[in-house]
Amino acid sequence: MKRGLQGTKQEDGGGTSSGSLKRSRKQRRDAELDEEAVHWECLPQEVLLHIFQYLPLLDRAYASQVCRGWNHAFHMPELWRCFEFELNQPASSYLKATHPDLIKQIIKRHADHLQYVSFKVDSSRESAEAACDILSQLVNCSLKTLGLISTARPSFMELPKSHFISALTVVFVNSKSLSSLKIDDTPVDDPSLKVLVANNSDTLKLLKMSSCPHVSPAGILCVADQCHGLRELALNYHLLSDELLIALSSEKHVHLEHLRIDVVSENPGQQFHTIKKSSWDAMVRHSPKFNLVMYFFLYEDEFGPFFRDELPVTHLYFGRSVSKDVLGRVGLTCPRLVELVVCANGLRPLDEELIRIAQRCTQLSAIGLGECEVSCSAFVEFVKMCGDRLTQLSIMEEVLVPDHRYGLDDIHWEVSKHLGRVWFPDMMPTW
Amino acid sequence: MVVNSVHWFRKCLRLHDNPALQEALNGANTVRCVYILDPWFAGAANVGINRWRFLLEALEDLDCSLKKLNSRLFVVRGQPAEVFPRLFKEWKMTRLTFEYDPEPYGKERDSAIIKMAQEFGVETIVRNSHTLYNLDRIIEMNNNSPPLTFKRFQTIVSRLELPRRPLPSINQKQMDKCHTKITDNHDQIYSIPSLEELGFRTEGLPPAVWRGGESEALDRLSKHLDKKVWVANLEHPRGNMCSLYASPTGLSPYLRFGCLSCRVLYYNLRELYMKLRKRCSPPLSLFGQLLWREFFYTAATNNPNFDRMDGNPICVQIPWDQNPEALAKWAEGRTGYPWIDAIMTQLREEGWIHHLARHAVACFLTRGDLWISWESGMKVFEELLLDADWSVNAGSWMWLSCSAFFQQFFHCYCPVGFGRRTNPTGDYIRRYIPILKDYPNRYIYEPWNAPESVQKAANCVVGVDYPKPMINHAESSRLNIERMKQVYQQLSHYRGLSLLASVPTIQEEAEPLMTDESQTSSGPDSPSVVHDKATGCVAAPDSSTVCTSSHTVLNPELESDEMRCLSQTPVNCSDSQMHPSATITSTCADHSAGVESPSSLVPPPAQSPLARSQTCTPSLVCSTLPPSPSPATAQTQTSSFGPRRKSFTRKVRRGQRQRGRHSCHAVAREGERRGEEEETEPGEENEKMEESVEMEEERMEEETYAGH
Repeated sequence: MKRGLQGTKQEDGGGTSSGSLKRSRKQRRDAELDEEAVHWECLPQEVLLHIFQYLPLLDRAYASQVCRGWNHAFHMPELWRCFEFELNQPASSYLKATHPDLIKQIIKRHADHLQYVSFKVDSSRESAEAACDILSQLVNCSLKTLGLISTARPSFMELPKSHFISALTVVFVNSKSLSSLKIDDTPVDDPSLKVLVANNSDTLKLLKMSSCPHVSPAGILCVADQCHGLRELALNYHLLSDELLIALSSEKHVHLEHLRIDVVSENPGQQFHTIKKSSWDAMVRHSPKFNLVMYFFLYEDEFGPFFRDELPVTHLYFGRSVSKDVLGRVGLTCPRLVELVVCANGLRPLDEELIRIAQRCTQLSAIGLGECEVSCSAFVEFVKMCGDRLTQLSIMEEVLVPDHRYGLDDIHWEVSKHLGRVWFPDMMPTW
Repeated sequence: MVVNSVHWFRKCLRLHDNPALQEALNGANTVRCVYILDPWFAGAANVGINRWRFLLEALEDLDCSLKKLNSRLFVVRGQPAEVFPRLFKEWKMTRLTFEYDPEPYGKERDSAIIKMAQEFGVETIVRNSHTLYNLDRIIEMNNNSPPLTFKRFQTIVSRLELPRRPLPSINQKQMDKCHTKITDNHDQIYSIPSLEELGFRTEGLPPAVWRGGESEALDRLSKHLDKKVWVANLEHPRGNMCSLYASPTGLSPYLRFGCLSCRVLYYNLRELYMKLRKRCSPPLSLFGQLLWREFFYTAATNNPNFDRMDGNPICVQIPWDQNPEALAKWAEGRTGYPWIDAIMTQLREEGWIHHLARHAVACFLTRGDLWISWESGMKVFEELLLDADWSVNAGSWMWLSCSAFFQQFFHCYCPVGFGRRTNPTGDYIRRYIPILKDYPNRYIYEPWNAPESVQKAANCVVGVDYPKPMINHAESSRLNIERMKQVYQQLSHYRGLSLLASVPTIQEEAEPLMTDESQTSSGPDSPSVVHDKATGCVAAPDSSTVCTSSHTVLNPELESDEMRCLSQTPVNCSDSQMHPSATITSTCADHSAGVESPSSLVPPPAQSPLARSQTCTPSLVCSTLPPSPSPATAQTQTSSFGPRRKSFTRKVRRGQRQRGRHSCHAVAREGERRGEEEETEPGEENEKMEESVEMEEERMEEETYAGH
């Protein structure tokens, strides 16, 4: 635009006999431009808003420089309800960060528009601190969702607890209508959860707080007692108690939809408490459709208290080695199982265990096997029993041990036949 | 007319099955065999002594074989682009032959040399012999994009005609016809350098475990084929637990340096199979390792950024940690996990480790434990690993770190359990970490768990004589599986509970790829980003929430570009006078004076050509601005990346649709009630443009009911 105008001016400056001709051409061009400009300027704000919602932030920023109308649209509250702050330091992350000026501008102009906010923080303590600084400035806003996400190491844990807590409680106190809170791997503690409950108990529906070591079973129980709308909860096994399950299945409480439990041993040989079957039964009675997701990161010898009684688990992940014996018990005690992932097991084949799981776990639709062994025949039998309800079947090639009936080259045909779709084992490069 | 040939050895350090060398000899009056110490390979500090030694031995073997044919190898020091003009004149060259190099760096170098040769009137003949197949043909058969799953690759390969038969070794008769006089000072000018000359200290250097050279390679090949056990396991090389040690029948370094022709290996395997099984055609699995190599070469050949995450269209953008200390511990074998440390020691000392060992250390460094970028690991392998091909090395690292190729990420190798499974006795540990040699089997993979008395009895106290484990594996794998899930769920728009469903299944092997009409609508000139955005909307209207969310990593490449632009470093920004984009701002300010412009959003000076092409897209902002001329590099990259990126997107989408999930216009359908089963949001964290609490409540319902 600019260069075009300049060019025309220069031509005019050196005006000759053909100057008028040029001028008229120029006028015509300007008229066309005006027409276009008028056309675009007249876009109603709601249409602009609609378009802007589909544009990435950068493009909206460019567009905002076109005219006042577009600039105005750029700042419409609707476009600032949701924001993800990315806080990375060049020394610790490969990804770029949200620019500090942009952060300032958001806090200045759009803080009260923010509703759905997340912070993605890299492994450096500075980034976690920056997140807390922003949090403590969000005094005028009413957040509905807040997520604190460590993308590499749990850097919030490196902050002084008091610093973190005071920033977080700013949001708790001011928001009053938080419905979703994700604070995994943070130093949140019981008193701050009390503040959360005191201000947001009517609205809280989702709480994810896996690996928050400063929370006690009593702290989470307080949340469950007060927040009757809570439908999703993620926590570590040491916070799980019979009382908690009973509280979640009280009449006042809505149906729980999703409970995620991480079972991690803090020190080798740790003894884990058990949950009564009656508590689980109460949960299932109250919320018949709830999902129980359990991630196990235990040594083989720590599984003692688990899978002794019926367990309403739906998604089961064994992140470390799990014994043949425990997998055998899974088949006996987990009738609601939907997904099973086994990362590793000993050297003995899991044939009977898998077949038992196929028999007993009639909901099973996804299975992943890593460092295990299964004979090809048993695996085919397993697939045959489950049939096409197996929508996810991820088996490392090394898992399948050829036997007299099937070799590795023909097993995929056999399995594909029973699944009703083309299937291959997962492979790793031989390199 | 006199024909003076020069054959330029790079890889393909052999006389057998060397089609380009045959071309050099064909009707020539003189032939000189040249090796140029390529500074990209040579000068780089990134190549370790074992790799150098292997190369020099291979050159010596080549020289030795040529001597037997009354010829010699000419090792010319310098850069090819500087050396050749001199050689063209000095030797009155009329013909230059070399093996086709399919890697992007090599292609660029070679095209410059070919151009230069043309100017000097020198004919160039290039022949393909480092790979079994013509890689461009594979790409063409996959609708002009490299196959991204190994299965798809195998399907395409099975449709191809067999690889070209290997050629015999050059012989005395051929060589006599083009005998070239060797000057007396040959050894002074063209000798093979020593390790010392290259600046390595060789005192105390243990003898090479892997001896370089074609003779050794052919010797190993016959042992490889003779190995009875191996033949018995022809179909499924399982139970190779003992082969953690360097095997006298291992071939991979020889394939890397071209001391052994991959086609010779291919046809030997094939013939052996047919002899033993009396079946007419062997299964593809017989050629496993050769095909993997081919697969990664195909994926890399048109992708100059194949060895990095940034700007690499096939690589998922994962927020890896930067942690130099942890990286050094890993690279130097000081992690405190004997299994990892033994492998890294073997790698450093011998230059080769078993592929299961590679999986173990790669997983440990990246997605399993340390959460450090695969690029760092790749560089360490590049330095130490004899068989580290650029393509295969980068490709394998991406594969093992689940950064590409649609890998399930649930399976993390345990740095204790996997070792114990692979080598139950722990002999492997005792050999490479002698300080642990007196540990009982029970504790050798986890010495920190041994009682103090056992540690003392073994003369190795953990924390004193051997490091404590640098990381708690249970804890780190818990964290990392969450991180991977987060990345992949955003990528695939999956929000259910199923871990396995987070990785999109791509159906490229099941259904033929369709040509995308939209691909033709935007020509190679259109800026890459616009092009991609168009794809985002056009190709999959059912998931246009993509467009509303700048955080959605549906297309990881696009995401990274945006992030790069949205997040310039403060240093750059403060200096707005310097920006190319600042010009745009000020230009626009003329027309919208008084309007506050969000200057902090204006992009930074771009680092990569791709980013540059985005920065230079003012048409979006002020359509009357003359289009900035994009640098030529950006143009070529744009045109070659566009379709491929698109196909990645398309595949992800297809996988998504295939699972029967619907995405909808979050905004367009505002206020409409959505079915419980519907999945709308791209990622858990991106509650985008939700207009009402009601919507949010429904979202929560979806989130919880997903996975059913």
